[in-house]
Amino acid sequence: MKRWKLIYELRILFSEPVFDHFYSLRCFPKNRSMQEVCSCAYKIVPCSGSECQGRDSFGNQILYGRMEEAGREFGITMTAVAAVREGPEPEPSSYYRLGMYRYQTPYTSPGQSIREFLKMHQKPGHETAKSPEAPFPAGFLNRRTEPGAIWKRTEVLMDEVWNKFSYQSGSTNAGTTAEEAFAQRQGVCQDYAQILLSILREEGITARYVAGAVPGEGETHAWVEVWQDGYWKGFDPTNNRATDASYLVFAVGRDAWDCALNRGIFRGNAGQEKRIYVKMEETEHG
Amino acid sequence: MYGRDLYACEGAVNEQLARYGVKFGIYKNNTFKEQLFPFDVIPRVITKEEFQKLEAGLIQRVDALNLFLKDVYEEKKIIKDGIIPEDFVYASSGYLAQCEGLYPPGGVYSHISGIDLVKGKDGTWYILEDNLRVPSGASYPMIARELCRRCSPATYQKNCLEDNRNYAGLLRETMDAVSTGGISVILTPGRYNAAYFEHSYLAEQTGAKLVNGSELEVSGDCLYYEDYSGRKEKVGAVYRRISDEYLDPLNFNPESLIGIPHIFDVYRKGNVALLNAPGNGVADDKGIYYFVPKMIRYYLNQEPILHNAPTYLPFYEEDRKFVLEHFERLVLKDVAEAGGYGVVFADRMTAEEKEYFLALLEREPRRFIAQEVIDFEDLCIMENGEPVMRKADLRAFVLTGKETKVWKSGLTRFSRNPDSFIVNSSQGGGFKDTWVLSQ
Repeated sequence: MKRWKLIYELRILFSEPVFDHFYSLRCFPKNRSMQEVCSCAYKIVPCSGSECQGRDSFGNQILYGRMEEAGREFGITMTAVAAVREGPEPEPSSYYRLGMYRYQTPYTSPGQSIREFLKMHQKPGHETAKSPEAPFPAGFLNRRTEPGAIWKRTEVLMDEVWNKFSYQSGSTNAGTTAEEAFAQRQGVCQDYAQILLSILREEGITARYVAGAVPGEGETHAWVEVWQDGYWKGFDPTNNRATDASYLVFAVGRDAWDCALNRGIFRGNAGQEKRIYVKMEETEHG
Repeated sequence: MYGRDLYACEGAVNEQLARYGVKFGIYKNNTFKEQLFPFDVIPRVITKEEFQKLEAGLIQRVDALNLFLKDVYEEKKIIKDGIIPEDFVYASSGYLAQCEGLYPPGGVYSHISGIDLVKGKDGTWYILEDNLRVPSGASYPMIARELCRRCSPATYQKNCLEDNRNYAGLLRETMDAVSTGGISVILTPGRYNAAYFEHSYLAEQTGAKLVNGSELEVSGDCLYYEDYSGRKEKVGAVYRRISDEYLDPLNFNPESLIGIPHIFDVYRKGNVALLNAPGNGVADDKGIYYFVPKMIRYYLNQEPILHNAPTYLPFYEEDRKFVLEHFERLVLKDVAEAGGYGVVFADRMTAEEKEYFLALLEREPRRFIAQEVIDFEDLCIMENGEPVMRKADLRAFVLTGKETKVWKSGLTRFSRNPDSFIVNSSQGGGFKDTWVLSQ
């Protein structure tokens, strides 16, 4: 188990005052079986007061509200202490209730370049869970239900993606789809995660997007979790490795849009500049 | 049974309908065009006994669909038990993951259901499709009846028929049944919507406020209506006539300008009712239609009273074979389309179109359903003073609040083209009043 002290700071500076600014924030460590949030405090900039808390259908905590006054600045400073245990996260819901994580979204839908990749990495006669006749063709059942078989397959696919794709900050943006990123062979952690999700889902594997933080990055990170036999195991395709107790989870969902740590809309024709600062360090104290 | 004076008033009634703005707006080639919705004065008549059967069948169907929606967004027993393959749920464009685990106020998903039926030449009624999102059309027979009564009062004194002017009362009752406290509003995308007349007419008739997105605002954990003077009132029920994707830019399409930021967040908390519930599209696409009789057996343990048109699902190997063998006699429908779009009759395809379509079917079997062409009843309409026979369907309105009720009338739409089976108003059809006899 590791205990982390986390600081997350978001600042958006507008080139002129904006009004009717509505926001939804998901930038809080998630409380779950393998991750205990010991304390969490936040402050909205320029002022807290009218915001509400809620929970979305993926179980993420959200903070939403509206800035009452027109302004040129918006942001949040959040500090938290959370303890993370190593190991897969138990999932109480059955296979059937996790269907939304098995299907593509507009951000993960494969196109030509991902399909070509799949063709190369599926041997002739390779069976996936996506046969139209039954959710589990017999061959699939035999091979894939062995403990950890799906996670092993994930490692193979993750390694192949990692070999074909390179990290290049600024080469994509928040709205880039998995297919767009893969076609240009470069992107950032969000792209790595969505590409791997696209590939896994084409194989009928239940997998979800995770937004969170790791130490030493200075910004937020993204990875995936893959379900098998009642557990979600984390994989970090950007670093081609399984996750451990250094990965702090904020939000889960089907894709980057579901997990957007901050969403906002406003009126006004202002340009905006976004700054994010994340600091995560190990601590002894709660 | 209806007097000469009713025939005689056709011109006057259509003139008044035009004056009241009973129009249909359609987008064609990216331009908005408004056209009149021609009214034919000869009503469709349904006997009391016939309607009783329809009523029982419609209540049964809508109850099963509501149970399906609850199950799909919660436990998913129907998938687990192998009745419906999960592909038909999760790959449906109407399925919204945002609604997972969300329990709508009052537990109702489809409050206002528009069920389209046709009557075969053998007298059997068949369900053509279910509309559980924002079905429109109730206002047309309402206002037509009202105007006809004025022109020909004797017709309505002589005949024993159910008064259909209670629709507003039923709708009001439905909104009240699920309201979380506060006023009820009808949310319109505005005057350029195809059914704007209906939105304003229903608001006037029910006493609900007609509002657009900018007049509603989420503040704290509730939704408020703000009038021109800045006075705020809490809203308990929103009969929204805008589609799911435009409802809330922070939870759905971020480009939406007609939605209300955070309305979905307060809905999720149970602090406002949305009629109909977001996410209903998963239960009314043409693919899931195939499974509705199975739902009735599964959830209600009853045999369906009303039948589907014979439908084949190319998704299943056996059905795909059948479709290929009997291709010429079938009608193919794209599951993602509505309003009469994406419907093709196989016998009217050119050889080239057929080849293209068969390849498409092979590639995307889930995308289509195939149906037998039902030879449905022609109804008499007046065209330039001459009676002619045309294809017609019936949209029945089924309302679910505390219980499920069927409006004793409906929208009868007919095709003005003698060769067409497609009666949708967006395809240029006309409408009739629907009489349900009371004895």
